[in-house]
Amino acid sequence: MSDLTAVLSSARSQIGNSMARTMMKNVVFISPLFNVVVAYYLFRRSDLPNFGDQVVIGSGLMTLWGTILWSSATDIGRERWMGTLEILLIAPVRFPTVLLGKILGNTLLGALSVGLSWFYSWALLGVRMTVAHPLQLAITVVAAIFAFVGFALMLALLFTLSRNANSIANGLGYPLYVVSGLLFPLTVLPVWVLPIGLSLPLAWAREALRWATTGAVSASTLLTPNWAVAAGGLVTVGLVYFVAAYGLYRYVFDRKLRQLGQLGVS
Amino acid sequence: MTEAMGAFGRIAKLAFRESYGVFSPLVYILFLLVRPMTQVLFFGLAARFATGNPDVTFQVVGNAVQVCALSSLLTVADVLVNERANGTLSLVTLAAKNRFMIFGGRLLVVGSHGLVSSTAALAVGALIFGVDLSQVHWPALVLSLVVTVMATSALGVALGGVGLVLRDLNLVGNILMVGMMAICGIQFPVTQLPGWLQVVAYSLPMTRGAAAARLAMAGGGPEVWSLLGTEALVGCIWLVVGYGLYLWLERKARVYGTLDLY
Repeated sequence: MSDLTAVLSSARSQIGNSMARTMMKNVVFISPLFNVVVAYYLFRRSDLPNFGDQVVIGSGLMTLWGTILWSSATDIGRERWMGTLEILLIAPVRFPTVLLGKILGNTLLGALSVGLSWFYSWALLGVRMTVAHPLQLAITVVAAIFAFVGFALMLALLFTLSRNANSIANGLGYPLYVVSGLLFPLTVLPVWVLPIGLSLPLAWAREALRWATTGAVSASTLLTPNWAVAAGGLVTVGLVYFVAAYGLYRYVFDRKLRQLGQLGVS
Repeated sequence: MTEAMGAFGRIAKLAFRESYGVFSPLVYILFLLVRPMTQVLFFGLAARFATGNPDVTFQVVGNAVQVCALSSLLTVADVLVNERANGTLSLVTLAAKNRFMIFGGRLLVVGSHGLVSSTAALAVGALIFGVDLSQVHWPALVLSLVVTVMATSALGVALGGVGLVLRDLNLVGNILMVGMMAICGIQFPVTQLPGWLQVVAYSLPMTRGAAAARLAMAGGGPEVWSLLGTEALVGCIWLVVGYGLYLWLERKARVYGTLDLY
């Protein structure tokens, strides 16, 4: 089985398994609705020219981020709990390949929840989102999926090392929302916070999406000078996380968990 | 009475060990302080950006109440689900102690944690957003938090009862939790919602509790006590409904032998 086939097969199986769980259905289908409601009423009385985009992109990314954090943590925990984590590690297909497929599946579900945020905003609240540059938007979506998969891969490997993965994932949501400036410009944050935010794909995705949807209208609330820089940053951050995930797997995960025999007990 | 209080204390102590004993100090602090503080920061910054108004007292107080109240909702509701997952639900059902002990003991731990989280959230409001604490009527504010926690926990009892016949209570609990955050006047005034949604909001705990806490922040006044009285009444109604539902469903489950089947 080629690695690509394994990734696609793992992603397909992950989507099927996730959709069988009511909790994931809640995260994908119901959470976007409430996030949209909160964002809509927060921004409704603002005089921002890009009101619709603030609501859709802000709430959509909140849901996407939640999906990725939650699924990265719980999937590993679930395998550990069912006693299948060890089997995955010694399967003929390499563990990172299987994990990559799982995360791709989760990220695609997260992308679906972003689409639902747009749908709920439009259908229930009458919010209209403008798309100034459709091609840039399409490229940004692909780049964002790439970067989020890289980030989630590293996160999932890190969570493998902790028995508190679920709790950490639960607790990390708001800190990451803040440093990524999901519902406000990054420029309002202190300068020392910016490197933390810019080391995460979410902040770059937000910048690139906003350039693609509203273009120059949002310029004053964006940190990057144009879409190309934002999209380039997004891809670069994604690449860095893929490399970091590989290093983590090769030099930490493999040694600590397989050679020291701590896989199911850490 | 002394024996009952002893049992209550033992359950509270065990609940703490059960809930937090496995956490590392770092994760414990993440939950207790970092999460509520960043939640206030996030919604405070969002509101300031959205409205252009530097005064975000509304969001700071709303979130301080929310972090305190909603953790108690899920914790109380999860009691029975956890007992079932651990295979001890049948034993709990047969226990000689009043079920209130089981719920209440856990609530004591979560409630006190919630108060610490709320304090941290208010501290962020004062230090980062310059929320004015000079006018605060502290007894009214603390009472607002306590009454809201009690009322929300009463809703948790109802949810816990439903958990006896529902496989995935966490789903309902999470929907309720995010739903209440969206409509109970935590991030924006309830009056902005459509009429029918306002009715739903006012039938749930926390809506009046958050309003009372805001008044207490501004110095209190007679309306605080009226709001807290109504919040307590809403809590009592949920408690009666919830506990009745729980006892009824427990009896049905015992009669049909379905206690551990869901």
